[in-house]
Amino acid sequence: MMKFKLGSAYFAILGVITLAFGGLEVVTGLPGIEGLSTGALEIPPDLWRGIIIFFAGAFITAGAFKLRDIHGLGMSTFGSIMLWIIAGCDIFTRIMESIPNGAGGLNSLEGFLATYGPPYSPALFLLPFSLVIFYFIKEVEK
Amino acid sequence: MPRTSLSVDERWKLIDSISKQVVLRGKYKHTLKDVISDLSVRPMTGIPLALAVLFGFWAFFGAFAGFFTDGFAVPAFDDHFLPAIQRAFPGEGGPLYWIFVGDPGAPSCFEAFGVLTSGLFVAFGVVLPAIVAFYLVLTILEDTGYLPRLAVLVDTVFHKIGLHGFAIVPTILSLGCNVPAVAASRVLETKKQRFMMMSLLAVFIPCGAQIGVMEELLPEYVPAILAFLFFGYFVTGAVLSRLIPGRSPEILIDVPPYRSPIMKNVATKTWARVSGFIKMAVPAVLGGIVVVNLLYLLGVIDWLADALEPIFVVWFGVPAVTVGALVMAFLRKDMAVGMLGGMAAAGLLTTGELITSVVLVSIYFPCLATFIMLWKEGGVRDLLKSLAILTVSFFVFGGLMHGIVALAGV
Repeated sequence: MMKFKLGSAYFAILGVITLAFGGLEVVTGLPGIEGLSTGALEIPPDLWRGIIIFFAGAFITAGAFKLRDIHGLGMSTFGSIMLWIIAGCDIFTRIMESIPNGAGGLNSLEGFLATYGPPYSPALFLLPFSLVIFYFIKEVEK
Repeated sequence: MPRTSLSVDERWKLIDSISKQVVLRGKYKHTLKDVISDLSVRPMTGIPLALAVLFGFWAFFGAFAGFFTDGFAVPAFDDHFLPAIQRAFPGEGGPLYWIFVGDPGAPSCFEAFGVLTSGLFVAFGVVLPAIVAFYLVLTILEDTGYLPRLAVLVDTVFHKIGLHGFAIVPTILSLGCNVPAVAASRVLETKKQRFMMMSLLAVFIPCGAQIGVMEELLPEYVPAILAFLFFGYFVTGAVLSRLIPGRSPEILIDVPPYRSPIMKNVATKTWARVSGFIKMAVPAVLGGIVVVNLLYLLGVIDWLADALEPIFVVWFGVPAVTVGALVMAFLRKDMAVGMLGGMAAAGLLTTGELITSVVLVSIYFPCLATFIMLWKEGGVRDLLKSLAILTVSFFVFGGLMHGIVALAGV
C-alpha cells in the first residue's frame, strides 16, 4: 500500500516535470525564440517534440493518482511510452551521428565517445526516471 | 465405437465434456495491453500518441537516411567517384559524355546529371537508404498492430472527405511508393472511394524516394511542404467527395491485439518491399536520365521552356528552366527533385523558387509507374478523369504555393 502511495507521488512529480519541460520546448519552438542550453541540459527548439512531451507529462500525471488501478497505471505507462519514443529517437540519432567522421570514413574513438556526452535533451534526462514504471507494472500484475 | 454412430445427444455430451476441459470461465479482467489499446484509439489520448509515432517515424527516417547518405554516400560519390569518372570517361564534352557523366565541371553528383554520376548516386546513395528506413518502420508499425488503431483514430477525419479510416493504409504506403499504394486502394469498398483515393495519392502524396531527396536538399522546409501537400489532399478530397456521385459506406474495423514484432518477419517483409522497389526504380532512374539528356541534346527541353515560360514565370513564379525537371518527373520524381537541387546549387533557382518547384513536381503528372498502375486499376476513363483533377490541382495549388512563398518572403 505504502509503495503505491510513494509511487503515486513519484509519478505525479515526474509527470509535472515532464509537462514543464514539454512546455519549455513548445515555447523555444515558437518562431523567433532560440533554443536553451544550460550545461548538461539542452532544450531543442522543436514545437512538435514539445507538444508530445507536454502530453506525455499530462498522461503520466493523470495516471499517477490511480497507480494501483490498471487504468491509472495504463495511463502513466501510456505517457511513458510517448516519452520513450522521443528519447529513443534521440539515442538513435546520437548512435547514427557517432559512427561516420563526415569525410566518408569511420569516426575516431574520441569523436565517437564525444557524441554521447552532454548536453542532453529533456527526454533523455527523464528516460531513466520513467523506467520505474516497470516496477509498478510487475507489482500490479502480481 | 465408430464416431459416425454417435447420436445427436451423445455428440452434444461429448462437446460438453471437451469444452469443460478446455474452456476457462470467469470474469474478464482488463490487462495493461487492453488499457493501452483503448487509449490508442480514443481521440484525446490517441492523437498525441499518433503525433509521437509519426515524429518517431520521421526522426528515424532522417537519422537512418542521413547516416548513409551524408555520412558515407555523399563523401564517397563527390570526393572520390565523381572526379575519377570525370577523368576516366573518354570524349569529354561529347554527347555520350553528357549522357553518362554529365557536366564535366560539376562539383557534386547532384549537379552532374549523368547516368553514372547522378543516376547511381540518387538511386543508391539517397533513395535506397530512405526507402529501407521507410519500409522498416512501416513493417514494425504493421506487425505491432498500431496501423489498424491509427485507422480507427482517423476514421472521422476521412469520413469528411468521403473515405474511411482504412484510407490511412494506402496513404502511408504511398509515402513509400505510389505504385503499391494505388493497388492497396482496393481495401476501400465503393468505386467512388477507390477512384478518389487513387487520384489523391497520385496528385498529393510524395513517395519516399522523393522525400529522401527533399530531405537532402531542403531539410528545414520538408515538414512545411508535406503539410501543404496534405492540406491539398484534404481540400481536394472534400471537393471531390461532393462532386463525384456514389456511396461512402461505414465500415467495421477489426483491431488485433498489440504484439511484439517478430524480427525475422520484419526483415522478410522489408526485404520483399525494398527489393521490389529496387527492381522497379533503378532502371527507371537510369533510363529517365538518358531520355532527359537526349531531350536536352535535341533542344526539345529548351523549346518547351521557351513555350511555357509565361505560365511558369507569371503563375508559378519559377524560371522556365524547371521545365526539364517536370519532364523528368514523369519518369522519376525523386530524380526530378534532384535535378532541381542541381539547378539551385548552380544558382539558377532561389530557395523560394526551389520550394515552389518541389511542390510543382509533387502535384504534377504521376510518375510513369504510377500512371500505368492507375490505367490498370481504373481503366482509361478513370485515368483521364484523374488527369483532369491533376491539371486543375496543379494550377490551383501551384499558384497558391507561389503566393505563400512570396508572402513569407522566402
